[in-house]
Amino acid sequence: MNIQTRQAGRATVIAVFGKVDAMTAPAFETSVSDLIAEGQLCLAIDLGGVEYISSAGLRVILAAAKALKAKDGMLLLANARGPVQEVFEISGFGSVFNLYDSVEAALETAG
Amino acid sequence: MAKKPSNLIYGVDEQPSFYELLILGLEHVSVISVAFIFPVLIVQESGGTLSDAATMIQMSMIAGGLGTILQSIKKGPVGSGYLCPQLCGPSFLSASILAGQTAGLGAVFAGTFFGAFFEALFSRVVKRLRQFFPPEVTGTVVAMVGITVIPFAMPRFLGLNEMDATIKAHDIIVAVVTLAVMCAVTIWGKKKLRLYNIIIGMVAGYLLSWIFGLFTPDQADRLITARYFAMPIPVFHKWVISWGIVLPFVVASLCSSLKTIGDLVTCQKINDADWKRMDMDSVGGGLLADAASAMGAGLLGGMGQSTSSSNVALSLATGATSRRIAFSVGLILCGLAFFPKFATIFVIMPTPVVGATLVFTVSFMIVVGFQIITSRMLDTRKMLVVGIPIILGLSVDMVPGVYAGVPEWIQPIFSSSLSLATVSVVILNLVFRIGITAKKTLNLKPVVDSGQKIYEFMDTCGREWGARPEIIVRATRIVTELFEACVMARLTENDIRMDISFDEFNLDMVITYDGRPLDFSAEKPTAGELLADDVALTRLSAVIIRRTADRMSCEEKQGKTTLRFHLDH
Repeated sequence: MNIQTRQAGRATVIAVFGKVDAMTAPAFETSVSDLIAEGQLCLAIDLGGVEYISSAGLRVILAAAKALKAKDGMLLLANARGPVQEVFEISGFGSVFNLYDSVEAALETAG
Repeated sequence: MAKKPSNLIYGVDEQPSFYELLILGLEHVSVISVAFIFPVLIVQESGGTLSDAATMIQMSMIAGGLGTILQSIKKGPVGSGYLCPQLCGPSFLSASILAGQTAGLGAVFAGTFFGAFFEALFSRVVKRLRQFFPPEVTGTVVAMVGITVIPFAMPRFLGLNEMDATIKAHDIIVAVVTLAVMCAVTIWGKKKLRLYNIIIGMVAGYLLSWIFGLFTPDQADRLITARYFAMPIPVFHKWVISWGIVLPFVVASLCSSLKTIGDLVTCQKINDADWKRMDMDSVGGGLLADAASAMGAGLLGGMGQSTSSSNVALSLATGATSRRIAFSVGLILCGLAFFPKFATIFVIMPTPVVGATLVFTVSFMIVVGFQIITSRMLDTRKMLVVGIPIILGLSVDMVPGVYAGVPEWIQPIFSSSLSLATVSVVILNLVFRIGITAKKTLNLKPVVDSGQKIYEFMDTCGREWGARPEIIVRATRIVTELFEACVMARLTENDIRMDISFDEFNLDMVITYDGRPLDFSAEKPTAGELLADDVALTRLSAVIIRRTADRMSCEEKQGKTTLRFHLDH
């Protein structure tokens, strides 16, 4: 798994590449929680490069959303495609989060 | 229910307006008319007269028109339910010429009938032969159908013919403008205008040809002298039947059947955004309609009929695949058999316009073929199954005369790049299946192994077996979630064994380990529960596994858990 971050206005875009499973989820969690600890309150996760996500990866996303909500921040998810989108649907996460077709669409929401 | 792809304006079940049906029908007939050159060639080689040729064209029109309508019927044993027009099949050309030269037109019609009878029998058993026609086989046939047309298309595009091999500027201009107009209307035209991309291009081509004086005096004379109305009356030629005549037609029918399977698979694919596998009922019905049309041609005195790949490509290019268009095409074809003057307008189509139309439609066909091939993971075996037949097929056109020495009775196989590629891809697919074990085992050690081992194993299985990528992704998800849940909930400390087996229709996994099973009956955890403890995460894994498998069972006996998962392929 590989993670790249960039600033886009007031939001931080986290582009994730590769597989997010029990083995790689801790690294993903560290990256996200570090950004939140630094005071980033609007995170947009670009899932376009994710080949696979397991329940362990879903929990990281859920934890991040909860942490941001506690600080009046927001978590945006974009570019979930194919198998990743399917996991969101069958796990029920698709109804918990708004999934945006593109990072740009997600950032528009962020304002 | 098939999901209509977004690029279609009128899907297979939709109803275009009357005028759209008329114009789209004419577009299809104009493409079909290109093949009316074949009956002329057969009659010439059989020592027949111009009148024989005219009658054979008329009878071919009626057989093809009725066949096109039959093909579009969805209910009952006959018909595929798709717009897949019939035309004078190039697969029958060499067998027909051979029979005609040997024993005259009576032998041609008898051979056509019995060859088609073989196809009718084949259509009844094809449902049980699905494993013989995986996507790499049908995709290769579809791509080769397009590639086969290139030697016909390019000389016409350049305005070349047997009498005159010099390239003329006027021909090139007509061809390029015709093609450019078709492309422009397709790419930049408004949605409805796209329906008429071919006919608009053709009109531009006809106009330019007229301006440049490309119509020969002979063509003009043919149009002027053609009668407005002529009752098509079959002329009976005494049938000549022998093994030497019928066998080449049986081979030609087999080639034609395989091409038809390719055409019907293309129809299925272009009409369903979620297409996964062949609908064999539709294929069987389509082959029977194909056979009925060819048998009718044999009885009436027309040329063997086959589905038209160019017309399937045309339906994709125009974005209109409605089966109602088939009725329009069929009725226009049958009608034109009574009105030779109108039929002649299509028959005298300027050569560069024919070439441009073929280049335009065939480009779609070739790409669709490769899309079908790559819809499955390709391992070395499949690459060879696809690659060798393409080389063999191309060799027919690229190395002219290379197969001149093969016995006459199997000449039909070597007479076109399509037939050679088709027969060889079917044979190689069968031969290269020998010795392939569709079973594998994976042992996973909790804590020691990681998901990477599962990904690599499943990816190898998928490639070797040619499994659909999305099925492999789902199987990987099941095993990964289970493995992670076993580790997290410490369900076992010993090895987890997975036996996976695969055939063309099923992917089954049996997973065994010493220890407790996951609770697959558990409800989906709430967000709060998920963040509170790890047990909730294993419940989420159980939900994901349960919803990913098409069928599953779980049993625990004497401390040993056995899980069975099934995925439809």
